[in-house]
Amino acid sequence: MNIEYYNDRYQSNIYKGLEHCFLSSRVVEKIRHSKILLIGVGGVGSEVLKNLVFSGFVNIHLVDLDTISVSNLNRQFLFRSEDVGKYKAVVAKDRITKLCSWSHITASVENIRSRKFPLEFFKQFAAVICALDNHKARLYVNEVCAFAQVPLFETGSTGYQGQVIPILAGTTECYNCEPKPPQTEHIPVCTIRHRPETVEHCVVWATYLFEVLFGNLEDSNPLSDEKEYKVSRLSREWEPNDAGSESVTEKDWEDMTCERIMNKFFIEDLQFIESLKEDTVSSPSRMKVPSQEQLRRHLWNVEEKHSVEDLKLEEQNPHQLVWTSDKAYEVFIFCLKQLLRRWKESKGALIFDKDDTISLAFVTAASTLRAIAFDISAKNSFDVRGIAGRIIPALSTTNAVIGGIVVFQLLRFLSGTHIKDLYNARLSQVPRSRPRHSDEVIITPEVIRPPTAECVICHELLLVTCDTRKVTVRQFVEEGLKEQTKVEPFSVATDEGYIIYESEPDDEVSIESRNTDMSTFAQLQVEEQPISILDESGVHYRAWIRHQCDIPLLIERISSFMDDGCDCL
Amino acid sequence: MTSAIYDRQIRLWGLQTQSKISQSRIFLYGYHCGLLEELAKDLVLTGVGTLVIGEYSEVTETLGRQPMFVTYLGHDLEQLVEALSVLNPHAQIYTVNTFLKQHFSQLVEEQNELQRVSKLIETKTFAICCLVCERLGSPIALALDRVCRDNNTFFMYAEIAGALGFLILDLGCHYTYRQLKKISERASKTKIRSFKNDEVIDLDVNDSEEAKDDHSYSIPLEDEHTLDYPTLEQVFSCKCGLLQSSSKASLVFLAFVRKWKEEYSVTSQQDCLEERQRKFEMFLQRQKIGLRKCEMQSLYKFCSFIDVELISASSCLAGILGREIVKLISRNEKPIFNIFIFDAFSCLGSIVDIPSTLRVDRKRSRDDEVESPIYDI
Repeated sequence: MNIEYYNDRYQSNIYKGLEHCFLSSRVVEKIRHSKILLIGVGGVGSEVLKNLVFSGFVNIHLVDLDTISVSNLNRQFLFRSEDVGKYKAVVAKDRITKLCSWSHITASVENIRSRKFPLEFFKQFAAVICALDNHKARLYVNEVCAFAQVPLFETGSTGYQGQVIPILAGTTECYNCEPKPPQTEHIPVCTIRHRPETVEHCVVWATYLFEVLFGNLEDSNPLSDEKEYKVSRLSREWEPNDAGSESVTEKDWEDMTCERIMNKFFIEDLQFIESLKEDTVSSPSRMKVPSQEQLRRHLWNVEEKHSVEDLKLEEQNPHQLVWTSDKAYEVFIFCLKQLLRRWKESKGALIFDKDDTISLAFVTAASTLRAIAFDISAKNSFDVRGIAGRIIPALSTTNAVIGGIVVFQLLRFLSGTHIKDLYNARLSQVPRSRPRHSDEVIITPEVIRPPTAECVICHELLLVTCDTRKVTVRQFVEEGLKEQTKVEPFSVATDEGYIIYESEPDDEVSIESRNTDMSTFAQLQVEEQPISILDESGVHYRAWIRHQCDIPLLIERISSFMDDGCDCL
Repeated sequence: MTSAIYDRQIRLWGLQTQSKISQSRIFLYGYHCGLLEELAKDLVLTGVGTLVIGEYSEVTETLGRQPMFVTYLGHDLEQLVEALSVLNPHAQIYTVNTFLKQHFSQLVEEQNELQRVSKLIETKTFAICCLVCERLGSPIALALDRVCRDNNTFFMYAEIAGALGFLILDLGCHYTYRQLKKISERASKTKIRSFKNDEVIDLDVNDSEEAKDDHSYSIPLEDEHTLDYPTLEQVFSCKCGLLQSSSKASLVFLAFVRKWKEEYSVTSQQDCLEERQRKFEMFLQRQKIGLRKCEMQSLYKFCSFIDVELISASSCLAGILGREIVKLISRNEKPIFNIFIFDAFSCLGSIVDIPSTLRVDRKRSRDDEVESPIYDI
């Protein structure tokens, strides 16, 4: 059959179908001409994209930063094994265009937080569908959509569960309204350092150890005071010897470094923790601290009997036995040496990658040794990869359900249903009973609630339009905030944590940074991104700075929009 | 390589279930529509070993008008099979014809469609037979269900009418499954899951407690359960009076859709929304079914969708169906018992229990039956 003929007939079929369903050719035209922004072309994203084009949407903009990996192939049907390593947005665009020649798709390989997407960019869309997997980027999208006053359809899926939330900030509850469960970083430092209780604490400790030794040490790392054990420092210690007497061979250096690191983290630290425990009588359980001799024996005994291939096979087997302490020592030393060599070659910081066999085996071995010392049952490398890499299980079927619901809701929205009359949908694994009904449900509609009273994003947004090359931060505060909106801010800060204005500057701060408020927005590079305006009690307003040459300084307050529903049609 | 592909689901259901999936053989039969494609796609991605797809070829000749289906993977079955094989090169995917040719060299040619399909099921090659969007009314569905029952094959019936989707399961009168219970690890499991998922969505506690991963080492406590499924015929002949009110309207509408497809769509030349609504009212009168006004209102809305497929609704129903198929393969979770109704308008997916004959009989003695079955042929 002639493909073009088929495509034409096919496309008209879709529109005829739509017209049938929504009983209005106006709605069909609207769907055909609406531009949709799809952020994230992963599991849910590819389903959404397919549903969009085969529901009649033509103009779709894809944004995704990520590349395709093997573990995506069990659900992301637009990708194949030969695509591994390529950009998701690009491949998705090509595949969909082949399936559906009349679609007009734009792909951006870019972080959605990039300055390349100003507020005007978001405003061109009839709706934004967010199919991202991380909290931070979702909060950002949620906020931008509130500033741009664009309806957002927020999706999420994990394992057997998923959800779809239509959001119109100011009118409905937004992604920021409900506090989210605490992040991993919130495990108390002392739990990680001194009192691990679960194997997760041990794994987290092991990834921190990796970072201490090889990575860019960040202050948020609870082991950050162990800077002296950074490999970059340890390597310096041996260098003077090179010039002097018998030069230290590569192998000697590796052995010595290994011994120092192991001594420190598997003997001295544990002994220290044990001494702490003796003070508090309440903990009778003995720790298993290895002796110096044991360590030595392992250090000198290691023939290279492990191969990367073996470790790779092991990490893919969920039924693999948990390593014994002997094996964990062997693997630890083997991997440590491999990583030392890698570090020497690159001379740059190494970053933990859950898909790198050596890094994973290092973390597994370290967590196993730590778990054994604290009498916690350890995990094999398959499970450690899940914990350390924060792997979220994902199914094609769950994504299909979520992708279907969100596009149907979008169709309803564009056909004139007010966003308040849509539903938050939740897919659950186990049927739940419905109040006031006798049946059980696995897809549950929830009535969309109004915004919570505390939510800054739903209530306190300021849109600042000015010539950012001329307006300084001080002018913005004095002539803008104080005069136009009657706000007296305590300070103004960017999301990266820089304070660009303070009403009562700290005397200890250097002159340079004290004068940041004399700089223009353009100099500080804070245009087209949200900033916080704080008062004594915390963030009071969020503001978005837009550049426009002909406007000196204009501050608009974004209030609940589309309340009358007239813009929905 | 393969375990790397399935890593994200092995973490959920374990290696054992994954290997069962890779050995499973599933038969999909019905109309080549979006629902069939979506389901096939989900199954192939999940790693199903063998998939045979059949199409009721007489459909196009008998139906007066072409229903508006959305198919995108292939214009015909051969293309669909080809496209699916690209998605997963390890899966064995056949059309009924190629499969029959490979397995029965001396097939009698003049057999009709149903006989051929029955023959296929009688080989007991397939654990699961799934009838998708059957367009010709109940005789085929009922006959296929009977054949499946006789051959211990699980039967699933899926139908989508625009924004309203149905699944009816018949897994025989003695379906057993083992629910894994983990006592010792439960507390820590909940922690892990919320720890892992912190960035995605907030889990509700019930779900995370029930979620299992059977690849860890603690010996799970197994609870064996048995379910007695009614046959498709029993479901269709269930009396309206016995239905729970919340699902009654949808099921009555399903009956109407089936009737409409059988008769009205072939004969009637005039077709518009008002006409369909009028026919629906006539149908209710003839069947002596009373519905509340609000129920009628919501059903009128569905009338415009009867012969249109919306890919988003189909995709959603296919997802649920695929999930059930994995449950049937792994046998360690309770499948839907026995009807699932999906209403895309209100984002509602509910499970309805249609009582099987025994219980119907018991009730019958009490009730004075005046209402006719929701479906009579």
